[in-house]
Amino acid sequence: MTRPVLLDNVTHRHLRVHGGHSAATGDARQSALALPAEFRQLQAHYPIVFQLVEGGFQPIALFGLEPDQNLFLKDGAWDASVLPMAAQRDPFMIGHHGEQLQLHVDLDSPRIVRPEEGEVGSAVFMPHGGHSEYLDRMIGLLEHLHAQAQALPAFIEVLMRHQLLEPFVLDVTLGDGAQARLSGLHTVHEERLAALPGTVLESLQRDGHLLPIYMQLASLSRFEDLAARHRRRHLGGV
Amino acid sequence: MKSVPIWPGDVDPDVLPDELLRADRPYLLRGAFAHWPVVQAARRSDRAVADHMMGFYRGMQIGLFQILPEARGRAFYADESLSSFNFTRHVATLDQVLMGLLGLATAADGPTLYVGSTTVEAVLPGFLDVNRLDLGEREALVSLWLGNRSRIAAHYDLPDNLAIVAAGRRRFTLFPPEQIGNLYMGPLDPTPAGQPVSLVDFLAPDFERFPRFARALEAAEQAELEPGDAVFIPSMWFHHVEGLEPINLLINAWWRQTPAHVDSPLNTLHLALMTLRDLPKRERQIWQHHFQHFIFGADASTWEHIPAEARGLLGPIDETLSRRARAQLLSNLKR
Repeated sequence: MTRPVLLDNVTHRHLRVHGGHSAATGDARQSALALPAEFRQLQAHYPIVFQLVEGGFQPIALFGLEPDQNLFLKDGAWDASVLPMAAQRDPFMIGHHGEQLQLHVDLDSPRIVRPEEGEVGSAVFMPHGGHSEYLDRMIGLLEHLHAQAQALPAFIEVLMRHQLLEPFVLDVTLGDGAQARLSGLHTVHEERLAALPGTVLESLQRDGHLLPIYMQLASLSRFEDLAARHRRRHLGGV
Repeated sequence: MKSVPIWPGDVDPDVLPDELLRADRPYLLRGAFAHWPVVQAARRSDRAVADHMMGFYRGMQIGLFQILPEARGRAFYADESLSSFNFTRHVATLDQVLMGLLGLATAADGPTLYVGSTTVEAVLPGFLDVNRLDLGEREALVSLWLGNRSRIAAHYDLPDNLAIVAAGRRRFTLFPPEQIGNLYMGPLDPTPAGQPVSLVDFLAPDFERFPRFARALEAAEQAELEPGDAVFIPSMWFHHVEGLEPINLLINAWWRQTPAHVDSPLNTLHLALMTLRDLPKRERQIWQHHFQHFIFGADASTWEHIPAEARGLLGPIDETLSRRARAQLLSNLKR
């Protein structure tokens, strides 16, 4: 559960946040939201697929083959140079107050340093209540995340309009002969994409949708890397 | 020129009089710190001062200014454009600096080496345990200033200041804050060492270019300090400081009479320059009136008609209110 509250420099004057990435900081997660603007960077590291959630399709970057499995966690760090913004924002989130955006903090997040843990992690505020560099960085990240998320509905709408999403099931053979099956996932329909009339392709290109579409397709090659990470973890003892 | 008056009362260096440390004008304390071991060493030799310092040194690197001989010790801008400086900055160890100073001591026309504003407890841990400075409850920043012949342009500092000559000789020329208009202060940024400085070269004042400086000199007070002497310089008093010997060591303490959460009024000045100075005359007069009402003439009658819990910044400001106001201001300025 989350317990988001409006962040303020009086109530949360001593607030500190754990860095690093591990199960203890809540990073044992199979996926995170991936935004089209991030696809180019993310596709070099993670498969990007579409998931049907309440409200429609959502692109996600996959980190594991099973629920709560994150094959990128290693020795308290994240074994990749690029992370989806959505996987970096915790414990902060954006709240709305009418038109105005507000910064909220999830006080139930495992990243929140408990008083008995002492002065570990990053301070959110400076001694007299100014923003720490860490908080400024997080605010920048959330603003970017929010701005890019505004472009997502139009991207999904275009994919739907041209019937470019198809479901797929992925059977991954693990080293010991065991099979992992991923279902409920969608990807761009390559043949339908190729068959689109030139005028449609031109409009996709003009609106900036074509690049992320191809980046999503390219990202599927990363499933092999996920399977290899899984094999190493379970068989190689690494 | 007038002399800085000597503090009229008794001085027990272990319990400096509160009235001195809260005084609204400078005072000289002759020999108040003559008992300091570092001062005793200074009376023996420069080498003894260096040895005394090295006894506490743990190898931390310090910042060093080097000024070419032709500047005759004046740390200043490089040229009339006031965009760069006539000194180079280096990082060195204390023994390197002391070796350099001892080596230059007999040179006729050497460069100036100057270590400014360096935290004593960081560089010389334990030094203040034997050279004791008791300022009561005040939380002071104690710094050392080390160099050969140097001239530091007239400037002000926000904190109150007690400056103690530990070795060598220093000449202080002090001006009341209201002399600001006669001192021809340079830009707010960049500055040689963090504070705006007077553009007047005190060694050879150009009275044609800086005619009002003559009036500043009429208000000036001077003191030459020897080892063990100290001068109290209140907040915002201008001071021009000269190191006069081959090795000059100053120890100074800075403290504020306000709580730590109170920001520097210099921020207020910067914001006022941005927002008030260039307003149409009539609007500026209105703001002058408002500032008189809310700031300079404020007393209980300014806000007592507002219920206590609704006064906000108009009433007394504590740490929590200050934090809220800071967040609000940060947010307002972010555009």
